[in-house]
Amino acid sequence: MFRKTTYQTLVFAHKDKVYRYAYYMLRDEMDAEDATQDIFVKLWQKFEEINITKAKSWLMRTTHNYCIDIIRKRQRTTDKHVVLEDFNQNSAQEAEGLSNDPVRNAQNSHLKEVIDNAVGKLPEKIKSVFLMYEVQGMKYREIADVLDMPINSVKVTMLRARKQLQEELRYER
Amino acid sequence: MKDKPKRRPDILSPVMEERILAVAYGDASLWDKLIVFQVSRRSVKVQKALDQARETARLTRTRIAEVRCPDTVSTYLERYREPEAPLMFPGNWIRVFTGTVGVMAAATIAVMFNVFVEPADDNLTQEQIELATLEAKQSLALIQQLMQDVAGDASKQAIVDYTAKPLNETLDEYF
Repeated sequence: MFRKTTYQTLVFAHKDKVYRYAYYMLRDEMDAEDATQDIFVKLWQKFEEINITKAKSWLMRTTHNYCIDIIRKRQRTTDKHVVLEDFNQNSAQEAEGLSNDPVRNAQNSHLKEVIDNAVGKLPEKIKSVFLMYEVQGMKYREIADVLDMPINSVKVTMLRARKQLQEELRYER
Repeated sequence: MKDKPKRRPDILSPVMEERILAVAYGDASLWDKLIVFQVSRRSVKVQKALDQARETARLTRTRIAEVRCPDTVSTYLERYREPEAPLMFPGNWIRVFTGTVGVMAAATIAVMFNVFVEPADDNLTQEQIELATLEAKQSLALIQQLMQDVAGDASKQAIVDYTAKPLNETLDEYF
């Protein structure tokens, strides 16, 4: 009973965050869905071994490792590689937040694409740090623990991510 | 003597750029916020950079927050639930039995304690009464000291929560 409740609470609290992280890392909706499912199934299977108070860190570390594995597999099998254009189309097809104004819809859709691509284009390591900070709301120290890197490197990487995004989105305004 | 290289007016120093980004994303220190606030009032360049960085931060965060896990995933994960144990399941009977025995044992000990403990002797000497009064006063003084410490900590916390944080947030809004 306790296990079920705790598990469902964890799923409810973290499913969006895990999905977002996988979505931007893998740049593919279907892969992000699969990743989220697999990670939460793994959480269920390893529930007894995991320290529940550190479940958030466990989820983030597992999601990160899972995404890195997928990216490496893609690099080996180039035919499965998802190109940037596909990511654009996927994002453009999202029906969320559509209003009756077609011009506004087009602008919003374009902006979403631009932001998704700007985040998606960040180098892997920089993107990981940026997403952990922005998506998960993790602190620099927590990110340093999960990614096994010095805290100062996390800060510098975060700054680089912001600068790069600033550059990417400068011409969209 | 070598001339000092002139700073280009259209380029921000790396430190200032870092401060502006930190302010825009809302995780700058109070000191950085004050510096950026002061400089942005005098420099159009800094003000523009700050506005742009804020807009980027806002757009990015808004877009990231829009990405949500599809319901299909939640539905799929619904199946990972422990089956509810029925009342007749032996595990439940063991729990009920253990609980009942525990409560009965506790009740028995409480009754025996009341029955067998001898009533206290009320014939106390004057010295004993004075000693007991003194000890009680000391205990109360100790509790008072503790309460004062706690009150002091609480007021410090209140200063942080109701003064420092709102001030910080107000400054955030200005930036």
